[in-house]
Amino acid sequence: MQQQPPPAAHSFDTMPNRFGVFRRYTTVPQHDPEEGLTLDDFADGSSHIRTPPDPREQHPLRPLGSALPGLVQSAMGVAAKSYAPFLNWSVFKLMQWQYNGTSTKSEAQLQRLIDEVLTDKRFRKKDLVGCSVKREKKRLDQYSNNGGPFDTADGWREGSVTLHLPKARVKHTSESAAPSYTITGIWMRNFMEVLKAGYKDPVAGKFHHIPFSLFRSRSTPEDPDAPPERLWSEVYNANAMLREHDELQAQPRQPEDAPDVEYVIAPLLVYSDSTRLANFGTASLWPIYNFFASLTKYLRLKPSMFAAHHLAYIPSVSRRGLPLALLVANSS
Amino acid sequence: MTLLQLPDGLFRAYKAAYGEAPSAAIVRVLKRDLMQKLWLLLVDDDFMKAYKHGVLVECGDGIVRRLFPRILSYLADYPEK
Repeated sequence: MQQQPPPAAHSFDTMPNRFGVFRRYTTVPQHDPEEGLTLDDFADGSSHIRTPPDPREQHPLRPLGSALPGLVQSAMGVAAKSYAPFLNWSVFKLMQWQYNGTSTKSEAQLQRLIDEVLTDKRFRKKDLVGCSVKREKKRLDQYSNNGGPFDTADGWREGSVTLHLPKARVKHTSESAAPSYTITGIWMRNFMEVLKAGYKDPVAGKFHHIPFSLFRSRSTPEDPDAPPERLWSEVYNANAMLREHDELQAQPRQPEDAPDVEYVIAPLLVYSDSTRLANFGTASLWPIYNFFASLTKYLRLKPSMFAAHHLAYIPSVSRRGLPLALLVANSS
Repeated sequence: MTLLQLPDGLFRAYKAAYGEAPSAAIVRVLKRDLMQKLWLLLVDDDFMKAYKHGVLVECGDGIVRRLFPRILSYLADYPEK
C-alpha cells in the first residue's frame, strides 16, 4: 500500500480544518457533502440536547421503498375519517408517535407527544379507556399482513427459486432430471430500483460521490516541510475506491451525456445475516439488505437515518409477511 | 443464533422422491444453492447493464449523475451452516 501517493497533475487540496486534516481530490466535487454538518448530526445520544431532525430524512418506512410513506400518508388521509386500522383519533395519534422513527424517546419526542397529541383538541381521554397497546399493535400487524409492506410500486415482487434435490450415490442423467422443489414466497426488490431510490433520497445530498485522499498536516514552524500523514476512515478515502474512480474517468463516455454529467461509482455494501432477526422475536424471514458506502459511516449506522435498504426476504419458518411494526423496528 | 430454515414442503418432497429425509450435508448444499440462485435473480440484466454502462439518476442534491454500481463488500452469515 502506497502511504503517500504523489499529488496528481490536477490535484486539489481543501483547506485544513482545525486539526490540520484536509482532503486531496483529483476530481473536484460539485459541492461539499459535509457542508452544514455539525456535531449534532453525528451524535444522537438520547440525553443530548439537539436540533430537531429534517423530517424529509426521517421516514421510518423509507427503507422499504418510496411508495410506503405515500401509503402511510394516504392512510393518514383516510384516518382523518376512519383512523383505520385504529378505533379513533387518540389511539391513532398515540400509535403514530410510538412508531415515529426514533427508538429512544427523548425530551424533544416527549414535547412532540404533548404538542401533537395530548394538547390537540381532538384528543379525548375517554377514547383510551380500555385501550391495550398490545391489541393495537396486533391491529397494525393484521393490517400489514392483509396488504403487506411489500408494495409492487417499490419494486417488490414475489419470486421463486427452484432447487434440484440431490442424493448421495443416486445418479440422474442431468441436474434438471433430478426431483425438484420450488421455494415460493421470496420477496425481492429490483436492485436498480433500490439503488435509484437511495440516490434520489434527500440523504444523498450528503453522499461523497467523489473519492479523495485524506491527510493530516504535520508541518510546524520548526519543520514547515514535514510531509502530511495519510489518514483512512471511509470507503471514499480508500485506495481501492480511488482506483475504481480513476479507471471509470478513463473510460469512454456515453455520447448522449452532456459534458458536465459526473461519472461516479455507486459503492454498495450488501449484508445478509440473521443476527438482527433476534430483535423480531420471530425468526420468520431471512433478509438481504444494502447500505450506500458514499454516506459517512457515522450517519449510515445511526438507527434514525434508516440507511439500510432492503433487497430481499427469504421465508425461513413462516410464509406470512413480517408484521409492519417489526419491520419498522428493524429498519436501521 | 437463528438459522435459515428450508420450508417443510421441501423435506416432504425429498422424502416422497427418495423415501428418506435429506442428510445434513444435502441440506447444506440446498441452502447454498438457494442463496446462489437468489443472487442470480438479484443481479439481473438491469443491474449488469448499469454495471457496464452506468445509469443516469437525478440525485438527492438535484444533480444528474451517471452511476456505476459496484458491490464493494458482502457480509453474510453462512446460510448453509
